Amino acid sequence: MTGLGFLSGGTRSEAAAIDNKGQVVGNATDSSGNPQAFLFSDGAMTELSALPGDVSSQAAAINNKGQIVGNAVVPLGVQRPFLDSGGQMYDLNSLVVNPPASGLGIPGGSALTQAAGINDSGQIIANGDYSAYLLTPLQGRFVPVNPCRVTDTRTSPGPFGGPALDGVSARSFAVPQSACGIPATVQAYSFNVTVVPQGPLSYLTLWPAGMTQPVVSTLNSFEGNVVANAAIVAAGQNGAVSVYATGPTGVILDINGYFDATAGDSFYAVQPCRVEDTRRPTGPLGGPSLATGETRDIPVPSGPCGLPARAAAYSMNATVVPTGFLGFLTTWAAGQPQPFASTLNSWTGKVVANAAIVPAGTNGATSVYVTNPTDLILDVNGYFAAPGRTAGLTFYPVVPCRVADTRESDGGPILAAGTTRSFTIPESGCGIPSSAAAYSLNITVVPDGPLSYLSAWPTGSPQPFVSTLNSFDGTVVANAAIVPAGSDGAISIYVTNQTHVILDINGYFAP
Amino acid sequence: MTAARSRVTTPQTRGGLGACVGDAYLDSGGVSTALGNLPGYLWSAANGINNSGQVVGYAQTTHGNGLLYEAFVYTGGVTTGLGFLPGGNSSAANGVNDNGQIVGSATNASGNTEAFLIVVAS
Repeated sequence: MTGLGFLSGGTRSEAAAIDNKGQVVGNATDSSGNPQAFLFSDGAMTELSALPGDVSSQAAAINNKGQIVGNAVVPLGVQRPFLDSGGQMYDLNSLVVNPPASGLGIPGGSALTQAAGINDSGQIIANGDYSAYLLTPLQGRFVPVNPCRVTDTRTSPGPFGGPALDGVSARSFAVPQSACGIPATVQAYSFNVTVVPQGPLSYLTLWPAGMTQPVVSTLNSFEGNVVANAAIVAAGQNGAVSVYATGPTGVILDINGYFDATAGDSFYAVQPCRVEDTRRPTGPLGGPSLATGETRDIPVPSGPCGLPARAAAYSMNATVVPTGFLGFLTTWAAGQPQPFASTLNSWTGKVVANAAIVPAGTNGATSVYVTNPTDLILDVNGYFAAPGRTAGLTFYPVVPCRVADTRESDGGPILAAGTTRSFTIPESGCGIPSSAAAYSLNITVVPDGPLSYLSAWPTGSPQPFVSTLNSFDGTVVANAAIVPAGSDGAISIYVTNQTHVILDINGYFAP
Repeated sequence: MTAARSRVTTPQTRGGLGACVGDAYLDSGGVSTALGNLPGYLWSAANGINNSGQVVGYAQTTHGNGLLYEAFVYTGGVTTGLGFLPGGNSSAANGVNDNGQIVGSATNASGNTEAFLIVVAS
C-alpha cells in the first residue's frame, strides 16, 4: 500500500476512483484546509479547477476516456455536480436538456447537486431533489424528412403561427406537436431557419428549450433582408426549441430531418466536392441556368463526388447566382411532391449560399425548384446512409458554443485577404473530443468589404474547389457547414478578402 | 460526452453496492451473495467494482479503539484485507480498475488521512 501524498500545503487526501490507465481522482485539502477535487496522473497530484466560485469540491469517478465527475460546493453551501471532459469543466445542470423540477427552493440551487459515477459511454449517475438520476449523452442517427414547415410566425396566431418575434422575448416551439409528424423522442432536429425581418436584425439564436440561451448566433440580417440558414439543434424540454431575435421579425422553421437514438442513417463525410453547377456547359450536372418556375431533377450520384446510390440524404451547400429577385429555392427528394418549404432566398438578387440536408429520391436524385431565373451550384460534404461495409458516424449534439471569434483579442487577428487559417476545434474550450470526425458548424463572416467567398475543409487535405459562403456586398453573412476534421482535429478556412470569422458549433459526428 | 448534453431518464433508486449496511453483498442476475467478512471484523461495505467482478470496500473491527477500518478486495469468492499505510491503522478502498489497481484512503504515520494506491492480481 502506497500513499499518494497531498496537494501543496494540504494534510489530507482521499482517493475515490481509478481508471484503467492508473489515473486516480479524489479530493485533498488545499493550504486553507478546504477539500478540492484532484487528479493523480503520472505520479503527480494536481487540483482540478472545479466550478467558478467554488469553495470546495470532490471528484467521485473517472471513466476510461478521462472524463471525471464529482461535485463542488459554492457559497451558501449550494452543491453543484460537475463534469470535467476534455479539460473543460461543466456544471452538469447546464448540460441537461430536460432537467428535473428544480431546486428544493434553495436560492441559487439547482435540480442536480452531485454526480456519483460515469461509465465509458458517458452515462452519469447524479443525485438531486431526493432522487437519483441517470443521464445519458444525446446521440443520434439521421432520419430524413421530406421538407416540412414546422412554424411560420407570419400566419395566424397559434403555437406554430403568430405572433412574430418582437425583439424582446424568445418563443419556444414544441416541434413534436407540429403538423410534420416528428416523434417526441428524437434527439436533435435539422432545420432551415428563415427570417422575414421588419427592419435591421442583428442576429437570431436557436437553442434547445429549457436551457440557458447560449452566446451564439444562427443568422444575421443587418440590412433587414429575408435570410435563411440551416441549423441543427438538440431537442429541449418537451422536444421544444427556443428562438430569440434581436428585432421584430417573422420566423419560419422548415424541418428536413431529425436525429434519433435508436434508428436512422449514419453520416459519411466526403471531401467537399462540386456536384452541380448550372454555369457549366449544358448537361445532367451542368447548364442551362434555371428558368422562372422551373423544377429540375439533379442526378447527384452520377457526379464525380463518390456518392453512393444507397445514400438516403445528402449534406450539401446550395449557392444561387440569380439574375435579379429570387423569391426562393426549394430542394427535396425527387419523386416526392414538392413541399411547401424553402431552402434559401435572394430578394435582393445577390449571391446567396445555404447548407441543406436534402433527402435522396428516385435514383438518388434531388429535385430543385426556383421561383425566378438563377444559376445554381451544389457542393456536397457528406451523405447519410444505412451502415454498410464501413461504419458511419453518429451525431452528438452539444450545447451551442463559440469555437472561435477573430474579433476578440484572444481570437484574432482578422483573416487577411487570400489567406488560410487552421482552427484546432478540440482545443477550443467547447469540449469537443479528439474522436470527432466531422463538425456541425455555423460560420459567420464580418468582412471589411466585398468577400468573394470563404471555403472550409479538413486541415491537411488539398483546398477543394468549393465555397461555403459569399458576401459580395460586404455584409455580415452566416452559413451552416458540416466540415470533416483534419490533422489534429483542425479545419482550414480560406478567405478571398479580409474578414473576421466566427465559428459556432452545435454538434459533431464521431464513431 | 463532453459538452454533449444529457437527457434525464427514469429516476433510479439509490443503493446497490456502497449503500449496504451490514455485510457487503454481491448481486448478480438477481441473486444476492454475501461477500463474507474478514475474520475478526463486524461488518463490511462495498464501494467499487471492476469489469471482472472484483469488489473493494472496507470492514470494521469488532473491538476497535474507536472506528477502525480495513480496506478489502473480494476476488473470485475470497475476501482479502489490504492492510494499512506504514504506521497507519485504518484504511478503506473506494475504487478498483480492470488492472486490479485499488485506490482509497488510509491513515498514515502522522495520523492524517492520505489517498493510497495498491495493486493486486486482477
